[in-house]
Amino acid sequence: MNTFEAVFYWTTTVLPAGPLFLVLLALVFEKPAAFRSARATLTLAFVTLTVFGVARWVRTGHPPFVTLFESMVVTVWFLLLIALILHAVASRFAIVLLPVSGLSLLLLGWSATLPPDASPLTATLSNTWLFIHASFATAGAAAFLAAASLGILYLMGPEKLASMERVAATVPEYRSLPPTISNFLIFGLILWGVMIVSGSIWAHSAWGRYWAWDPIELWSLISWLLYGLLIHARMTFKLSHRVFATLTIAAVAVVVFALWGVQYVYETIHTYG
Amino acid sequence: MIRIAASTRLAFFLIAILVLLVVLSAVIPQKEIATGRIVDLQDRLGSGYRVIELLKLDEIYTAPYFFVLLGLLSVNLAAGNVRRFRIIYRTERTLLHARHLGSILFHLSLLVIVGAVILNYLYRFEGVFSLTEGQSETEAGYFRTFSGPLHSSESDRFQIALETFYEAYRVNGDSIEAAQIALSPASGQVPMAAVIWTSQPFLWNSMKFHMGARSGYSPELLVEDSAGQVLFRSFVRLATLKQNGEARYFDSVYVPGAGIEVAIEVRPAVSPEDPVRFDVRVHRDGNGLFSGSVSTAEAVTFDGLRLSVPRLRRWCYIAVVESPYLNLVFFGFWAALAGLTISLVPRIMRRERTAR
Repeated sequence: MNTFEAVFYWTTTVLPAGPLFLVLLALVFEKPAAFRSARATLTLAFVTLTVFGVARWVRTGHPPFVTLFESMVVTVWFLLLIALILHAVASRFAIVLLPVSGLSLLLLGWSATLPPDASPLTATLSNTWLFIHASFATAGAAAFLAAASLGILYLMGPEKLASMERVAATVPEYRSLPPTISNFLIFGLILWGVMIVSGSIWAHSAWGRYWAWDPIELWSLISWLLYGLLIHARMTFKLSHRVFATLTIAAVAVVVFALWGVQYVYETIHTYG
Repeated sequence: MIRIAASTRLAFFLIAILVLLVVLSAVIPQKEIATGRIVDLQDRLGSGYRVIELLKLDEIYTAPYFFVLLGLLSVNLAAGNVRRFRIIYRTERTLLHARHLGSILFHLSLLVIVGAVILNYLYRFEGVFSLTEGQSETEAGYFRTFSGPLHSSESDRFQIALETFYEAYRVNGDSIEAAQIALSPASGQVPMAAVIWTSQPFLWNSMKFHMGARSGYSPELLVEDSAGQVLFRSFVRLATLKQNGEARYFDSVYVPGAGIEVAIEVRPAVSPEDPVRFDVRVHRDGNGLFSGSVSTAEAVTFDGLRLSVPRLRRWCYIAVVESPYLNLVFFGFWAALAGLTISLVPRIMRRERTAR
């Protein structure tokens, strides 16, 4: 990582702490101005992360999806993008920046413990399908994280959510949250599905087979099936919204393990970089 | 009966069992995928491993119950779709409403995927050759095979030879590993030759001949006595160990005529001008007789013996695959994703209208 990238990366890593602090400040002391500043700070974090990603892309000549560090940073970028789009499309969802900034801070903190060096592209990695595969993996993870963020809002309870209206101007209707979480889960399921299919096409060109029950392949499939199961459970067993929100948050652990944890536990040919 | 077969509760339990089996396969090493880890587990569990074998938990994806589960899922999906179509058609007199189209397409596609996976299992064939340059084998020489219960191998008789292994074959500006193979069908067809690499298989008789993901070195080890009599001359296939992105190629061989154990490791040349070198250690009854480095142009002498490594060949896996319904699986997957996407659009639009 060169100095230019380092400046923007560390700025971004610190920035999500701002909105988290400002939102809490706004909620505790009922200061709408602090909430507006939090929104602006998160937008700024998105901009600095974009500059970091573009600078790295230009320097290395390939999109920043290759190393574990890059994969984590890009997931945060997608998460911030989803939060900003959600806010632009439906301003009542502005409050989602509270859990989103918390999750971004956690992920960026984790990424700061990883080697930030860019990795050259080997012949195996130099394939368009890899970038399709990796971009859908990170975007899918971001969609599941966004669903978990809404789940966190739901678990706060109707009174707390309504009380936030004093600082956030509008907040989502409490009972509208579970269907929105469900939509995000289906959205994540689509992205994750494209990730699995494009990954198998890439695996065919890299290793001569579409599917080999490799641990990362397995855990990706497990995540996909689990979310499918969760959507079915909500419809079939009429799960209480509270249980549904809790399971949505818990299921994120499987996605995080599939994407970044497997290589710490298993021997896998999917090692990053 | 039909109501039970079509129920979403049954679908939930079947998917839950599927998830459980996939999780188990991630925890318990599977045969032919993680052989090394199976040995470790057998050592750890001792006779307790019999339970795993009995329940076929170490070969879940080829176990009969896995296909029974897929079969039940197919029946459930088919019955569920018929029921869904009937209900929608009765109330709306059409099946093409955007609100239902996505869901119908998604569930039909799942049915296609499960059906294609079962068909593929029944008719699939997979075999792996481990060939050293210059070596040829018939279809009897597979060191690992899987053949579906309905697969017919009547027309699959041939002889295959690995003629040359290319370490850096140029394809579209990239250097990749490739293999030149020669294929002689037993039916009397004209012999064929082809250069293959992982993403470029050779297609014959509906079988794809891929270069496998594993390759390595096979040096010729020559041991002579002081009178020049050959005590041992053979190509030794070295194991490949990849760790942290670096590969090591080594093995040891017992030379009975001389009573020595030779451990040999290849040090691949860094540049094309450099000779390949071999790290050689020779022991007899635990006593070291020689330890040093030799190239193909050199020979070393010790204890009245002369050891050299005159030639170096490469070996690689050649995988032969016949998956007649694989494209149908892919088609089903893309169609399912299209169905999910179509189902999401009206949901979001409806929600936004309600919110306003």
